[in-house]
Amino acid sequence: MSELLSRLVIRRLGVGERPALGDLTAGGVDTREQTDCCSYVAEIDGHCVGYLLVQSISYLDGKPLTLWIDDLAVHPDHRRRKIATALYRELGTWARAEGVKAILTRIPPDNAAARALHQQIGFEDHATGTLVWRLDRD
Amino acid sequence: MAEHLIAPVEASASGTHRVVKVRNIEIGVFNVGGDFYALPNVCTHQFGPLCEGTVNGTTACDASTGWKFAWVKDGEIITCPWHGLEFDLTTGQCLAMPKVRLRSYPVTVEEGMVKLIL
Amino acid sequence: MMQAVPTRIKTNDMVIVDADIHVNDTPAALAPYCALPWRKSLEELANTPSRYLDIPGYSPTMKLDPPIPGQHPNRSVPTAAEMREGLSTLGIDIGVLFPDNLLLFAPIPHIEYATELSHAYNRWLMEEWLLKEEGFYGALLACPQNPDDSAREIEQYAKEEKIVAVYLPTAGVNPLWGHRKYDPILAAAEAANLPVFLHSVTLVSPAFPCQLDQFENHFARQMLSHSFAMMANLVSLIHTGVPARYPKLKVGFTEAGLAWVPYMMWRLDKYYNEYRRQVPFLERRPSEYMKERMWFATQPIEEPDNPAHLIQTIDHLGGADRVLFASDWPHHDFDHPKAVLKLPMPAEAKRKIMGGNALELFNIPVPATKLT
Repeated sequence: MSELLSRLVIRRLGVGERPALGDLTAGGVDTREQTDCCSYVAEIDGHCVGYLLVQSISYLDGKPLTLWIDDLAVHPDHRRRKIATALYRELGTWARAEGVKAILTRIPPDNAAARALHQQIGFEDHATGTLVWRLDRD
Repeated sequence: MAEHLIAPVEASASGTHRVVKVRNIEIGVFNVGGDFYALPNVCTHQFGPLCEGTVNGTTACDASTGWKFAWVKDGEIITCPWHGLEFDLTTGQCLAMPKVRLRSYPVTVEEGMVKLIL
Repeated sequence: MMQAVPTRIKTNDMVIVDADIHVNDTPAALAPYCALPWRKSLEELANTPSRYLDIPGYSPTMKLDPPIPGQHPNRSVPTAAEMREGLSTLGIDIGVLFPDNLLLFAPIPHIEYATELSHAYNRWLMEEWLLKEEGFYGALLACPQNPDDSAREIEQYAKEEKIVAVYLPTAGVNPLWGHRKYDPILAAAEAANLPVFLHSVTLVSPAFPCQLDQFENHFARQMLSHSFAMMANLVSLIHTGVPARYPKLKVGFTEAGLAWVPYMMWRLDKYYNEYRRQVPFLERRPSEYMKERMWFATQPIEEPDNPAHLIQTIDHLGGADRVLFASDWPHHDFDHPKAVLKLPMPAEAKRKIMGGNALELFNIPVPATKLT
């Protein structure tokens, strides 16, 4: 497994690029035409094994202030290999450097696995039902 | 980008707004005098449910008003129900923090349907 | 009386400007400069026993408690020559002069008397101090009791090189600065390119701050008189839109130290978010106006156990550009220049705070040779 992970590459999704992850691309996934923030794709040997789709929802002086996670997916064959964590690590590094204050998302209450993963990343429950990762406070 | 059907135009009268869920994000869609605007339902301040606030105008007072209070932007200001931060819902501009603005999503009306582009 | 002056410091590499020096404005000193019949009143007051900064009908502190013997003596300097000598000994090149007793000018209710008193003080300041010694500049006493007359006074003195600021009596002023009745004073100061300075003092006023009369001693009153006076007048200036209505007006705050400033900046900004529509003339957050056109004098400089905390405080209020050194000489709680000069700050920050900012703000020419 570690040999496989050593071939893992996280890269920024190109503008308009649609990450193909088997049938996970179904359901009208955003094609990332926004140029003011970063989405990421995880690849092994050039094959997509996961992606993290992000949009900016507010700006400070034209730079992203808060981000929203539209979608996070990891191919079923590659789960429990910290690929989501690696995707978030890349996003967090970029976002901190940009001065982003927080990253938010919304996950259904019954998706315990996704909630646990996000809590591990640093997301906390917010009174509005969203999850908030305060980059300026952690 | 994709189009998302929001509601029939006749169910979205001027001066009204609704909060809809598009994929996993809540978005406020507003009809201001027949023009539609959309903002994320997340305040920049403490991430409160901005679009659940009231739509109103606001005050202005400067040299152009003779330093007297004036009522402006009637129907164009959304005030966050949590701490009162005001945003111009036609642009996403935060009134108290000129450097801060919300993303503003394009909205179209086609064949009697309000459509959000996201 | 002059007491022993602490030793001087070596400051050959920078001009030291002191934004807050006090001249001893006794009724007897001002009487010859005052119009009749109020000259007679001052002559009468000259024969009245007084406590320090506490002369009924002249500097109404209105303190009700008994003196406690053994306190270190209060200091006052009666002549320009003695002041020059004292400042030189302290290593201070240039001083901006404020009153002693007339710090308590605001509560004087008699409009005509207050007006003539302000005229007399300003003439006396000019003739007995500013023109007598090198390195002395003055803050013109504004008369909140008579704003129109005060505006004329500012216009009249505006051309005087030695007048570099307008002093707004702060403690006990009612209504607070920012009230539109004072607009003529602010407009005149702005037109004359003179910064206005709020200078607080310990006093019990029937109007403000409330219930300080119930404090049993000066220790307690000193805690809140200054800070409350500053905070209240700052809020008053902000909430009536003065920074927006007078976009070139510069405002200084002296005698309340620095630590209250970040607190007020953060608090004003927080509630501006919530209540912006009540103050729509403010086009930016209050702290942004404060960091652009307000200055804060150091005395009485806070003395935290860890001086780095004070440097953080200066950083919070906008950095060294906002800060003016002030000694408050010769008052009992004066700060020696070393108290500020020895703080763990970069040399450039020290140069600004100890004089660079003041030279620019007061538009004072750099002296050809150091005066100390």
